[in-house]
Amino acid sequence: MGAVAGIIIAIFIGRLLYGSIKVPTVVLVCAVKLALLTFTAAVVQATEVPAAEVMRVIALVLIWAPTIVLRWIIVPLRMPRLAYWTVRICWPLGLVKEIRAGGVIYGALAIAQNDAPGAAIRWLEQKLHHAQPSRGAGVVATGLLAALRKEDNLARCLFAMAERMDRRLISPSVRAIARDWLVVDAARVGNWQKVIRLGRRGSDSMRWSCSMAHIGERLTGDPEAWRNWQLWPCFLWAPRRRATYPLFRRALTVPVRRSVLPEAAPTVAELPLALGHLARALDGPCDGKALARSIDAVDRQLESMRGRIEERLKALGSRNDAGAVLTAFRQRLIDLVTPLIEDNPYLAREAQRGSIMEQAVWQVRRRLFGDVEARCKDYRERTDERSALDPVAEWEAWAQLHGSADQLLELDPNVESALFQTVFAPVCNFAAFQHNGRKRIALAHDMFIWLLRYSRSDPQARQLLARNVQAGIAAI
Amino acid sequence: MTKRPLYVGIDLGTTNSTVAVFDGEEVTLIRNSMGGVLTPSVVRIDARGNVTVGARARRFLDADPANTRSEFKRLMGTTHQLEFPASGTFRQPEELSAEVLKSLRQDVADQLGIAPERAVVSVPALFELHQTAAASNAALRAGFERVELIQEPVASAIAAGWTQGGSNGPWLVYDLGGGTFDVSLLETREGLLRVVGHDGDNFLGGRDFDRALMDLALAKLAANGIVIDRANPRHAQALRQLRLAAEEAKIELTRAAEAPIFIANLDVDGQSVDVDLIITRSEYETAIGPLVDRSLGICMRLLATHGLGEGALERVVLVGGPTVTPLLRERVRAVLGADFGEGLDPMTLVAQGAALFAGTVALDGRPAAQAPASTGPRVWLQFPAMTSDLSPYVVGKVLEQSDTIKQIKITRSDGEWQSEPTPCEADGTFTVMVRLLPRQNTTFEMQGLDGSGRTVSLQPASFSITHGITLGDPPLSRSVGVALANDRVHVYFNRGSPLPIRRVFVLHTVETVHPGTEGHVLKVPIVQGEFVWAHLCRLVGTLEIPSTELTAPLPVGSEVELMLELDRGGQLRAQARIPAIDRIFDRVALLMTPQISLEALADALKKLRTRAADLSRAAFQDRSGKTAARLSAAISSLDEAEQNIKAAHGGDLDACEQARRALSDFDALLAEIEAEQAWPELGRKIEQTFAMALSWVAGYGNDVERSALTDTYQACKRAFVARDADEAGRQLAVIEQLGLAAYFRHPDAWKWEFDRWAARVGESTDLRRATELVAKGREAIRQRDFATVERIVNELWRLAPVDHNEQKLGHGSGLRMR
Amino acid sequence: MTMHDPLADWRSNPFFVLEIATDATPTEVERAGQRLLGLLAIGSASAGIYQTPLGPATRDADRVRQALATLRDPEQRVLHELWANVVPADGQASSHADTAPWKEAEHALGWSGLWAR
Repeated sequence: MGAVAGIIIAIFIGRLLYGSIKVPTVVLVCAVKLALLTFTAAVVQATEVPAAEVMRVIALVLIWAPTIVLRWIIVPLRMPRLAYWTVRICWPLGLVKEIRAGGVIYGALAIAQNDAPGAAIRWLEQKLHHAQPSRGAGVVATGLLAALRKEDNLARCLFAMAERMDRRLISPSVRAIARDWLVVDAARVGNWQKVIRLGRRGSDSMRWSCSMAHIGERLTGDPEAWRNWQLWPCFLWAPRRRATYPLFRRALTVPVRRSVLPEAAPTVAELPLALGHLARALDGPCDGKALARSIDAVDRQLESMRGRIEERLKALGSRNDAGAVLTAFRQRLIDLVTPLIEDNPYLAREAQRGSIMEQAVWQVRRRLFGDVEARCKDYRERTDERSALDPVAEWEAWAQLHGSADQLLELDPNVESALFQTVFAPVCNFAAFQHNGRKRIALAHDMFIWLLRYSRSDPQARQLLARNVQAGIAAI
Repeated sequence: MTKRPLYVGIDLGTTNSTVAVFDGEEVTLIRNSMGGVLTPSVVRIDARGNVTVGARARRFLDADPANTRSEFKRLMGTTHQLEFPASGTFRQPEELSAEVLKSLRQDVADQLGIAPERAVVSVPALFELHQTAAASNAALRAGFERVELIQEPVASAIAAGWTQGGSNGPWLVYDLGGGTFDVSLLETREGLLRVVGHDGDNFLGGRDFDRALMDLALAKLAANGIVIDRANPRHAQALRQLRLAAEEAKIELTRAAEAPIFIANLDVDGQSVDVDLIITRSEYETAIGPLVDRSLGICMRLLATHGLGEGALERVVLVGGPTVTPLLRERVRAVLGADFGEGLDPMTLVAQGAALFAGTVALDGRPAAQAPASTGPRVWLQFPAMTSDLSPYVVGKVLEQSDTIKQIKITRSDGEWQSEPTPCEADGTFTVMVRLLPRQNTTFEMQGLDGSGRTVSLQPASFSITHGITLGDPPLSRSVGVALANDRVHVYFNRGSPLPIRRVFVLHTVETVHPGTEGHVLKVPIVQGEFVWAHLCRLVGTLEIPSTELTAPLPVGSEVELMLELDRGGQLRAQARIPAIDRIFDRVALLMTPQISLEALADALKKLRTRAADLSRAAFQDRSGKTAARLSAAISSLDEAEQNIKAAHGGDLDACEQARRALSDFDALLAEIEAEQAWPELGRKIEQTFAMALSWVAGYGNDVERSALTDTYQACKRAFVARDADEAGRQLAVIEQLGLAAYFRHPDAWKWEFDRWAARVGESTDLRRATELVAKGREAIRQRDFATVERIVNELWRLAPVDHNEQKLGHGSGLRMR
Repeated sequence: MTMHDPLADWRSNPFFVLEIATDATPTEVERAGQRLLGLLAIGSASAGIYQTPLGPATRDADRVRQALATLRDPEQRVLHELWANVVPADGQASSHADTAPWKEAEHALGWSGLWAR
């Protein structure tokens, strides 16, 4: 074993000195770990330390599977600095290419239980800043720090971006953290559709999100939902069983429906009742159809109130007619619905849209496009000035543009062409600047891949982007 | 008097100022050292630096005009420096107003033995933020510790409402002062006085009546061969004397059918002339007729805005010296169709109302030390000082020995009413409904009861409430908002919003701000006005976030939580919090109106005439009669502005402000017309672009592109119908791109592009490089190397000039909405 | 079902804030407002929270003043009367109980420090 280790170390040294032997970093790390393990075992044996077996096991775990120690011991102990340094020293294989960012991830998870002390967050931010994050682990670390600072929207954008990142840029275990956060984020507000969508994209390494997706299907009465005898093994196979058990029990009690039960439209004869249904649709977990129906019911009742409104106006001494009041009412309705659609753009797609909903969607769309255009303008200017921010800020900026654009597409897939035309030139040029000028290969690559996904309407642009993506793959 | 409250109200007028006090029962006007209740708003500074205010100073308006200033109220909030050459000093209008206020404060001290520390000061309703700020500052300079502002029509309304009793319905306050005209529509309902709306004109007042009379006199003098020119600085002295004489004639004409204007030895161009004219009342009424009509037009506009026609008003209250003019009273009665409020002195109504208002907000002017002492556990009381409700609530909290005091009992001082013992809550709070005596001040005694029902004295032992009117919060006269980088205004407070008011919105930065870059500032411009476009609104203040205060770059899209707050008098407070760097900025550079140069005004006038001419031409070509009519009706305001600019050359500062205001309004009108004309233009562009794209995509596009083109065109039309310019623009960009993509598949397309740009090589930003490229391009075409031609065309595009004008228009704003 | 409370604006209806009926007279409106302003000024704990048909909400002096100003305008008052007359819908259908949010999610996974309250 010592001989094997010695050969591997020799290769490593040869690579360093001559640079001509290309060995993947993971292999080198494994070689070093093997050598360390061998060395430790030898030392333990030679010194005849009591409980030598225990020490060998500890060394084995720390060297080969430090994430077990991190997840089960250090993170629950809420020791961010210890978590960080454990990662730095023990080099978990999943974080080999971004070891510092990986340290920040586990440091952040260590203080995620409660409101984190500002000093700890600042320490981790400093470490991340020195790490100059360049890949998926850096993005997830940035997202966790944003979440610790209570910047939920920014965190959401970063995790969503990490969750869809090219597999070459992010390890499965890090992607799982991003996805798990998004799943929790959706589940805590009852957005089960999003939980299902996230979980369906999962793989074996994301057993928990897959399990949550099946639970979500059962809760929402999806015709494809699994029966109890299928759910049990899925649940038992997934981690965090104790934490998820109450939810799982809830899902088990929901009967499996093989067809979608049409929700009866509320029959309301009067405005107060229609408003009551609307309040319920807004506040509880709802779908776009129920929301649209309740809005239409309120809208229909309004005209019948015209006479009563005019009587009231007269009694209060106003000389105006009911028109202004009805217009103001409808505008308030639009303003009530707009934030809901902005937070859950898919609601707009599910609904059969009446005029109120249509105007609310239009308002959201205008805002999102405005945001995208402003950010593109900033990219254009910074490309011209050859000015770049530090890596953390660049990932944040890209995540936010990415987030607004994805929200737009979720709101209305038909805007794809218009959106692509808006973002293509500034983002592509900026990505080229980052790639060529600043050597931020991963960031540029993520931008090119994202653009390529939505370039169907422009074959010329598509060709250019495909070439850039290939260049990025070669450089990674 | 010392035991009763001292509520002080001051009318800071353009021509005269007045101070009144209210003691909870009656309003008293304070006399000045000359025995009058009206103190002329005139300040004189002599060679020794002594300041004289009022009638004594007014005497020198003629004899020593250079060192005697009047009518500076209209210049409040500007940076004009008024010179006093005898003492070699300069003063801002705010400082002169402070002298007037100091004099009035002294008058109160002389008459009542107390120099008040708090007061309410009136301002015109249409004063802008920087003008109200100047008024506040003037009061603080005058020695007041705290001042609240009240809009003049509201003050008049309070005084009229107090006097007229409890009639219901809408009524109007017509306030024509020396320099400003305010009209307010009010409503009284069950004792609640509400200001429904405001309108007015900051440049219409008695002074304009004087000027009309002067113009009449000047015309008569010119007919007699004596030419006095307003634009000639050498005639300024003669004009001043003439104006004083005209003022006296004006007063005479309210009682007589004619009035003489006689000035002996008037110096005109070095010659001494005698002025001896007779002005008849009918000539005067003809001259001021248009001014009166202008004021009535504003009244009718206000009524129409609120759905009121002729005859809908219960009554009209006239305020201000010029309202004694017989023609004015006749016309107001005829047009508005309502009787005048009786028993109201138009000269002092505003001051009385200001004093009453001080009572409603319990702004006692007495120094704090003079508050009467009493014994027993302290109670913190909250109750309205004045209310129309005969059964208001008194709310309180026992601050000391709260575990001993179990109940509160309140007894009316006349013994006719007493409350049931009201238990205190666990935290010592209690609420008791009391009964007032109608239309008077009612005093109550308050006692505590312990657990065994024994009486405990409390501190204060008594309090009083006046039954009168309840005043709704005064409304904001002009909308206030923040200018965004796209030259739009994000409105924080709509016109008519009640004051005080506070709003917070989250905005986002439009560009990355790097730290430490000297001179690089994130600007948050605060504007006032009703226009959609920020550059047309008045910039009233800018909150600046200098980059030197940043420790890290502030990326684009960073959140800025911006809070704006207006107090009851319209004083602005702003605060910006940037969560990304966890810093708060609250230094608002409140703008005085910058002194605009006459050359700049003249230049602006010329540009506006050119723009108007272009728009007229376009309207004529489009056969848009309505637009052409609007433009031609508005052109007269440009002529008036030109006259004012000429008068400003002669030293008339007021005329300069009027000209600036007229040009700004005309600019807004043109912007509105341009926006209307742009819409059909956009429609034409959409059709043309679609036709171009369709022809290319049909020949050189694929099925996906053809389908996308149809869908995009539909989306573009929908946006156009919905008048969403941004969305229409986006879809148009897609149509253009689809067309271009197909176009460039034509084998000769790059060659055509090259020829087009080669012809425009003179416009390039780098002429030398562009010329080199053109030469290489021609060579490449000869060799049929179209790949090289394509590369060269791309480079030529990069050398084309760019337009950066948009951000400049939004007052340099660095913010947008999300 | 959203990151922000969709009913927050509705709960600020002036009639809810002042805790008065929609047929209150102008005097009753002013009286209620004046009483609340007094209680808030003296720091009464109970004055800061009020109940609505859509759940509890908080108020401060600014909100009370805005409510008073709104109800003084006839058009605004009629508008808010319409919104205030809401009859809450019957208790949640069983399907809504199924798809209710999983409020303990962040605590259960030990990540409660990762979201703004």
